[in-house]
Amino acid sequence: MDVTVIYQIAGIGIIIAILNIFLSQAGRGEQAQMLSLAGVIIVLVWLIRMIAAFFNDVESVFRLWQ
Amino acid sequence: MGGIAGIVTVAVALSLFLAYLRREMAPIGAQVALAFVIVALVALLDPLRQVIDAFWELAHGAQVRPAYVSLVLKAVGVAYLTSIGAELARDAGEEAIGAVVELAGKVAILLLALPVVAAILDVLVRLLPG
Repeated sequence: MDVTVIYQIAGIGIIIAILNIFLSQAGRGEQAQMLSLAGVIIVLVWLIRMIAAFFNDVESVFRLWQ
Repeated sequence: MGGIAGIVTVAVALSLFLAYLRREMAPIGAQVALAFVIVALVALLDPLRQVIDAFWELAHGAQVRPAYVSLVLKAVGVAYLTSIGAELARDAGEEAIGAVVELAGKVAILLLALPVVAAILDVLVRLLPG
């Protein structure tokens, strides 16, 4: 795991915020909502994988299964 | 030491940036904070592994029974996991879920410590006359 993951997630946030502003200015509030929901879910899947890997690491460090 | 400096630098930069992102896109702001927490903790896990290995060495030198050392480390590990989980839940604004996670950790540690408590009681009963 690297620091670049944080910057990638932050980048996704910026892109979605900008697209959100465009879409709502164009009068497509519904699609703007869907877009932000999709962004949140994509990042969530990413984060869940990271959390699972991290918890596995903690288990191996503290030898929880011994 | 390089790892610590990196963590602090990224933390300062991110907290300035998050002031903007939380206003424009609140859920992804929380997720960025979560990602930083996980990355920082993974970076801290390697020094922690060294500390725990040293702890094992010390216990081995003092001829403590490995079962007890392993028990203590398991309790510390459970506390580490559940406190992180509870903080993450609180960070997302869910106080109740954080409290339940902490309760789960307490129950798990109690369950781990149960054999030791039973052993202490056993010794006490044997020490008592009659």
